[in-house]
Amino acid sequence: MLLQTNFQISKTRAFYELLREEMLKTPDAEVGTMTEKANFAEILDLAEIICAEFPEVSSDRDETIAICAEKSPKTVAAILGALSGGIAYAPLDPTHPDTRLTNILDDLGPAVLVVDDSTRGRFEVWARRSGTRLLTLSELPDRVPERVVASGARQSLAAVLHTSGSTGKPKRVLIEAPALDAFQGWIVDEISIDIDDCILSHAPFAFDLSFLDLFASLAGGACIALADTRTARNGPKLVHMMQEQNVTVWHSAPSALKLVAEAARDITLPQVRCVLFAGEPMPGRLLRQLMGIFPNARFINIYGCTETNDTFFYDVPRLDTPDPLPLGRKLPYVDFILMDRTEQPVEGEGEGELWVRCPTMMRGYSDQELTAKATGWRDGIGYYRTGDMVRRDDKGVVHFVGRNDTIVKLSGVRIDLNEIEANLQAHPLVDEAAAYVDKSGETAVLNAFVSSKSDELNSIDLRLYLMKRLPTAAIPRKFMISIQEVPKNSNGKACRRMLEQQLVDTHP
Amino acid sequence: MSYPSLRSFISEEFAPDIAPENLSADLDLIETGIVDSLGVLKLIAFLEGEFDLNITPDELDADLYRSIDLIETMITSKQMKVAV
Repeated sequence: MLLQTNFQISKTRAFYELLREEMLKTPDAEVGTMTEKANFAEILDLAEIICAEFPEVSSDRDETIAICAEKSPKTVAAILGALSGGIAYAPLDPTHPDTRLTNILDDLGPAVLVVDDSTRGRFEVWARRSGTRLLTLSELPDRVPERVVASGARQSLAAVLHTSGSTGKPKRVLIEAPALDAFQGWIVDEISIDIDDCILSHAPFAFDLSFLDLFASLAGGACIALADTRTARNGPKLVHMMQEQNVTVWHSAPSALKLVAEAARDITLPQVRCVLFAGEPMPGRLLRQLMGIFPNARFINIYGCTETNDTFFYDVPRLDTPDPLPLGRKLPYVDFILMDRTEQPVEGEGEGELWVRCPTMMRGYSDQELTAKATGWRDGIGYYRTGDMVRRDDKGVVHFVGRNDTIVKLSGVRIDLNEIEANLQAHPLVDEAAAYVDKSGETAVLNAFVSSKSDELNSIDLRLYLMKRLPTAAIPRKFMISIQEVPKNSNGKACRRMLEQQLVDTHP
Repeated sequence: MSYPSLRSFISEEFAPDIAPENLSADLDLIETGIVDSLGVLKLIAFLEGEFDLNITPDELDADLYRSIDLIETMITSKQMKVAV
């Protein structure tokens, strides 16, 4: 177990009580999509109605309620309903394929699966086969039941997320109530969320990004603008939503902000006071556009992962903005170490794998072997090994260097395969690219497989393009330009191993 | 002076998808990664064999082989010295 708890809130039920208490201070604050709205008081009533539909939890086994529904006030109520019953919620992304979802459900064995009209049909067969109750959000009773404290009050598991694993099978991440509580506390504090705010929830509930959107807003008394699947992918709709619902805080991956930047054109959104982004590097050009669209916003680059939640953040200066952005400084409650290749901690300036430890990290994966692999030990204390290589500069600011599994050394020069691929993919004629090391000859050689529909593209074009962006050592010796796609593993990620072992015909 | 076999060699050895005539004479062969340090040695071995040149140790500097232009100038000047 990674997480050791000694916090005020230790049980799921207690976390719900805390949220409820805060929500009752602003009963009129609204949660809504563009078509469906409910205020906090109504959502709390709905949560009790939904909770009453869940079975009594009495065993010592951790119970879960799976939720696969479009984002709506009722879905938020279902999440609170689970927490109210002292049960963990397991949000599933409705845009994922049926087989992936039913595989996850088979493994998880939830007490109930909550669906809505748009997802119900996809799970009827599975529910019959597994004998699991389906609860449809459009068919709830009207009457608010009397509040009873569920016997499941002992459970501390509060949320179960699934993240892609390198083997192709999703990893189940177990998150406890104290982790959610510590996190909402930090966010409410750091960006001073209050009753005048409206936070746009962009990420699906199945992603850890949604913890901020949901729990920090509910605890801070802020309204929530829910971007459902269709809105989330539509720039003009997102801009419209921000204007309509007077959004003051934006939180998403940079790719969603790209949609906004493309749609906004000359529009500015002066009421937005904070723009938070996480999950991938923010392109410098996009950031400059965004600073024009959000003239009054504080921009914050956040670094984290599902296993630990956010651990670093960087307040982006409007002048002399660095590019790329650093990860910045650790959150107040985070402990971290940079570990060099010999597993010795790097002191002061230097580079190493980032190990973190914080109250927001997972209890572990459901698979204990995976948890053990992801855990690094130092002086008897367990850290989560992020697998990310970072550099600490002379001012103590931390910078992202690359994934430790994509960094290779050729003729003494360190090369990040991801960086080469990202640069190749930025070429207008390149659809996909994979860089890999061919070790079959006397010396290891850096090669690249490039997928392009154009017959105009040749290796000189690519070289001239890369030359402006990469050190010479990072320019591949050989380019295989093909109309074929880059070979992928079952997870949809480029499979370098297949290229390295020449399992793919790499001749043009 | 232009040496077609030089272009053919560079194309075959380092940029197989580019026709020899499409290699521009001022293209930076080093910066573009077409010729790396190992490649320079291969190129020198080729020049010595093909054009009967004697490359001295202080001519092993990769900078002298940066472009087809530079290499061609070198071949010409060295052959003139031999002729004299």
